[in-house]
Amino acid sequence: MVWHFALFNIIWREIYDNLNSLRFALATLLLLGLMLTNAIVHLREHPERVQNYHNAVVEHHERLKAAADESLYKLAQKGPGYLPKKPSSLRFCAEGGEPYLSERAQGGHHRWGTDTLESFWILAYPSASPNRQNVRPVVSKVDWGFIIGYVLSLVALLFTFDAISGERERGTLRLTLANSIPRHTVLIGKFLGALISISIPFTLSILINLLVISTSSDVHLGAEAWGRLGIIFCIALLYTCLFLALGLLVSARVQRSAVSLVVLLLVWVVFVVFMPSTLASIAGRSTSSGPSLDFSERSEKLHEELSKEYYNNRFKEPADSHKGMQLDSEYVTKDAEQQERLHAERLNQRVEQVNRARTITRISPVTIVQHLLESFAGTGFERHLQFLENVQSYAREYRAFIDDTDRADPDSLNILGVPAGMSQKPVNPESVPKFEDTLNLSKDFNTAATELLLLVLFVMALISGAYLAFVRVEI
Amino acid sequence: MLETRDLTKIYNENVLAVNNLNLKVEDGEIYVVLGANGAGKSTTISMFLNFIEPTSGTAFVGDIEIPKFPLEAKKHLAYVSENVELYRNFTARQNLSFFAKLGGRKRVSNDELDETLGRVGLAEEAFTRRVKTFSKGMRQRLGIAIAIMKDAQAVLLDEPTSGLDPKGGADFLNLLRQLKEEGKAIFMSTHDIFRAKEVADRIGILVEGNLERELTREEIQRENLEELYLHYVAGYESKD
Amino acid sequence: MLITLIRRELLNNLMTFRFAAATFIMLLLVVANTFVLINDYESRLVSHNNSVNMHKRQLQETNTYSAGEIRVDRPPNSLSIFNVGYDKQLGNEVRVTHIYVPSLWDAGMHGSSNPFMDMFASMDIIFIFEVILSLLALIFAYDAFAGEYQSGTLRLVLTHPVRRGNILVAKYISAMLCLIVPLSISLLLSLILLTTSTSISLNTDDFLRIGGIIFTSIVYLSVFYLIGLLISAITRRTSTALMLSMFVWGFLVLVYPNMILAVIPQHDAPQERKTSAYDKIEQVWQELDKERKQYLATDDFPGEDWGYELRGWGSRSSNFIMFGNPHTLIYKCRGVMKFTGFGEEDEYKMPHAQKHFRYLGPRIIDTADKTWLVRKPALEDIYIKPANTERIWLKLSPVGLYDAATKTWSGTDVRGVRDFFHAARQYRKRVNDFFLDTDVFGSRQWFSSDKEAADWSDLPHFAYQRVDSNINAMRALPDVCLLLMINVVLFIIIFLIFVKSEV
Repeated sequence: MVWHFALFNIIWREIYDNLNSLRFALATLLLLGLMLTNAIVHLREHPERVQNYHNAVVEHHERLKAAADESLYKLAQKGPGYLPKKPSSLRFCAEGGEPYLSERAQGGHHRWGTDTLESFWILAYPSASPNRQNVRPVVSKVDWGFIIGYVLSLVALLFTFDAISGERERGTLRLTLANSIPRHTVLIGKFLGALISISIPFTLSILINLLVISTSSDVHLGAEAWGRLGIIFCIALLYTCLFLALGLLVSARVQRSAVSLVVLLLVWVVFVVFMPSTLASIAGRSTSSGPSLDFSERSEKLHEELSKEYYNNRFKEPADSHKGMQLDSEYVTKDAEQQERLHAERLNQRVEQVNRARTITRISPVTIVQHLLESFAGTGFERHLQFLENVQSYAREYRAFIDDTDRADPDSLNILGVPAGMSQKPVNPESVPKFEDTLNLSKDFNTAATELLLLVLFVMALISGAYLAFVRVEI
Repeated sequence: MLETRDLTKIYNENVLAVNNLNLKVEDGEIYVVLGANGAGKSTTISMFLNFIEPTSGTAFVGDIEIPKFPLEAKKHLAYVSENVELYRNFTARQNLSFFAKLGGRKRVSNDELDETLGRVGLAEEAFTRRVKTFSKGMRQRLGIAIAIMKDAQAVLLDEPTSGLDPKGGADFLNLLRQLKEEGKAIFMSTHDIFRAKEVADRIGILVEGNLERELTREEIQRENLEELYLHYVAGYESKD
Repeated sequence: MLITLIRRELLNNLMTFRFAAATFIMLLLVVANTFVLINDYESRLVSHNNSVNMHKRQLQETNTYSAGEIRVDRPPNSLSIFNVGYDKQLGNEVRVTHIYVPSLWDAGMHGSSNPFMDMFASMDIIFIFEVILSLLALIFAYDAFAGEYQSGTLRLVLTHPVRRGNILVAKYISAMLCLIVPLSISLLLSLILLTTSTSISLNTDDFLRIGGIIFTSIVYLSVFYLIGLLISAITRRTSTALMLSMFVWGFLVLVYPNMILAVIPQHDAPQERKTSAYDKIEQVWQELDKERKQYLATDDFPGEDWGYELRGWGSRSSNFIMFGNPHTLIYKCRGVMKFTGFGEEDEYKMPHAQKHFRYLGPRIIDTADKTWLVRKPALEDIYIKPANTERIWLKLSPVGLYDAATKTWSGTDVRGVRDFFHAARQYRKRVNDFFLDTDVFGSRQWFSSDKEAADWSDLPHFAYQRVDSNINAMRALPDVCLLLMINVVLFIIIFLIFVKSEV
């Protein structure tokens, strides 16, 4: 049990040493400054986002009501309108490329119309391109993902690069090991000491950040949000462990602290700064052999072909005959179907490309931690996919509602897509299904599980690497 | 009691650092090993402390075989290294207390720390000063205090007198004699022939890893140690 | 004497691990990314060419002048490989029409690129330099003085009759020589890759621009080396110097550029500026509308339909629509006719319609020009000015200065992109002149192709030439000068500290 006691002694010494060092002061300053910035920016931007969302929801409801008051046909033809994505209240944790992900889906897209026949509604996915006209400098957002992923990892390396090589240079390592203490105790002591030392400024800055955010009346964090924040904090610590272990590993392998730092910085720069974007562009490039025709051209061509076929057939039938109406209906629904399929196909292609890039970039730990933060903050690409799923299931619900209501009306001919063929009675706006975007934590866990596992594996590998390096080293 | 049996260390397959070393340091005896830089003195001490695994042979403290039970062995070993920088942000007291605790002490009172620090000749005002303000001599004294504090059966000193002023050197030898009185086995490496002559009970001359000559107390007094040393170490023959 | 010192320093630096490691990493990153970037450029070029051809085809297929949409495309900038700047981000095709004066804010984006992929940060060679060169310079500098203080070699050197200034200069020159090695090797490799790629042709001007980029890179490198020297001279302990250098690096390269824009107050132009400008523009168009209606009411054809009640085969906009977007201050009208034939009974309307369009065309051009007079300064105030203020904030860090200067050299800064739109506006003038000279507005083909389809073959050609390299140089000059000034100031400070310091 002596070594147990020695462990605490070593940890205490490490912390004491760090608390008195320049790096501790600088790290505290840096983290505090960044976290405060983060809080201020969130308070500046979040209320506007929430307001926009509420406006969009109101608009959606009003559109449904206006159409419902007119007739079921109008409801079926016009569709539910823009379906807004609910903004996450934890967006300050991970921006997750949200500006590049559309804030809404489009349920109702008017493309063509004649006096008697109008296009049916389809589900489309407008893309956000926030920078098309943006002449301002584009910089990355200072979110927790940035602070943890880049700054905290760098700080972790600066705390450990001389942990072993420095002691060897000063001769204290020999003095320490001249006592009956196993080497792994020293290593664990150093590891925990550094971890605790870093946690102090990190926790402090996070607490101040959350204090500023939660005391503002504009942002409400519920119990669930606090739970998520707790998980995010733990992930951040796990990620810090990764870099602490890396620092210890290199520090044990290398004779001089300066060399150790150079190695660590180069590794850091390659894995953290360059790997994600380089790999993403490689992955993105490999699939850019898209269709030769432009999307709008394809869409037009499909429509033209269909309408040619339709006019040829329709010509033979009298305007108001049942058969004619059925032809109309067939044409309208088929057009909507194939247009919607076209949109979905394009979306799927894009999603696939992004997924490929995201999978490849996982080699970099910073990407892993950013993905994890995104899943728990409810932002980012996975969350966007969840939103799209919600939209699609809502679209099904909406169509089923139209179908059922139309069938329930005895006066209706049940020919969808044709004004005369459908119920012309107004619908009770209350009964129309409304879109509400939801966030699902259990789903988050599923997507995050692999990445969490990967991160843990990385940490374990590096810690055992550091252990092996330190045990074998001759001092 | 310290003992080596056929202790050999070969670095990287071909560099012979220590060759078949057999020596024994009894309790209450000061054994000084003399040798040039790179003769294998530090390697021997490193092997006593299991910092380095011997290639063959073994070493004992008391009857504990060091390579087999290194942790147990280290309980009985204290170590003073050359030029130790210690923890710069710690005061002398904090450094001493830290290493005392690593040595297995649970509670160390300030009085005890101060007494040890006083014993090695540190001025009282230096007790609470950070080590980064210390001179080389002061740090060396603190290093010795750490070894004394451990109260181990055997003390290993790796060139402890390098860089000490004459007063410090004399104080240091007195301390060494006190430890000897307490019955500790003392193993010291140095290339300071005069201090070795003054304090040693036995002297070993190490040349390129081989123990070329062992002198007893009587021989030390009788022989011209300097000439002998130069003879072995440098192959240098005196003109007359 | 100086040579001896420099030689020693050079040997000292060149033989180190840090030099080898940094050079290796730099080469690796630059070469790997050059491949990716060339590939990216090539695919953008293909997409550009496709788009040019598509626009040409679409125009040829349009049979009436009023329905013709002349679009011009901005080619990707081959130097975007060095600093991508705004080259990929801002719109790269714009319509040239008499209805409005094209600007950056009216541009669209061609190519079937995936908008989601914008989530991933894009990369260029200058970014690698920004990060690695600065790191490298600091790693070289941190122990230049501190190490010599500590190991005592400085005392040893100064026991000889050497001026301290010489030591400083020797250190500076030798370190810079060393640091230029990885920079030049990696640039050379990427240039070789560039020239071997068939799709990229670099002309003399481009090489001059690249020369400018290299010069700026060296100046940037020197700034960071001097920052490192300063830290080294002040702290006098290697470990402290190293720690401080790394924090300074992290702050300047990583934190400051991303944080500063969030911290400073927003510089948005007041909303009133937007609304007042838009009101004015609307007014200009209302005047046109009034005149137009006046004409329709007083001409010798009954009815006030803008299309003279033409009912043929084909399509036409039912109304003369005027609409705008207060966000980008655009205002335009729409009146398109695509007839392929008429019945006999419509024939008498033709001269009237032609006369009307002949009257309307120049008026619309005139209105569009008037709109531009209001719109241009407003856009400048609302979008460009706040952006420029933000850029100035970013330039407080040498990283920002370097980024801005290299962007300017490459021509991928906002000004460089806007040059294209300037060319588009010039082209619009030529097209308008062509329309007026050949009486396109008053021709029957303006609205109908029954007699003869619109003939686009005589249309003036659009060719966009990037500005000369000396203009790039003039634009980059202030930033480069600032970087140089930082160098001089740092050098003087270090000199003063070093000369007066005790050893």
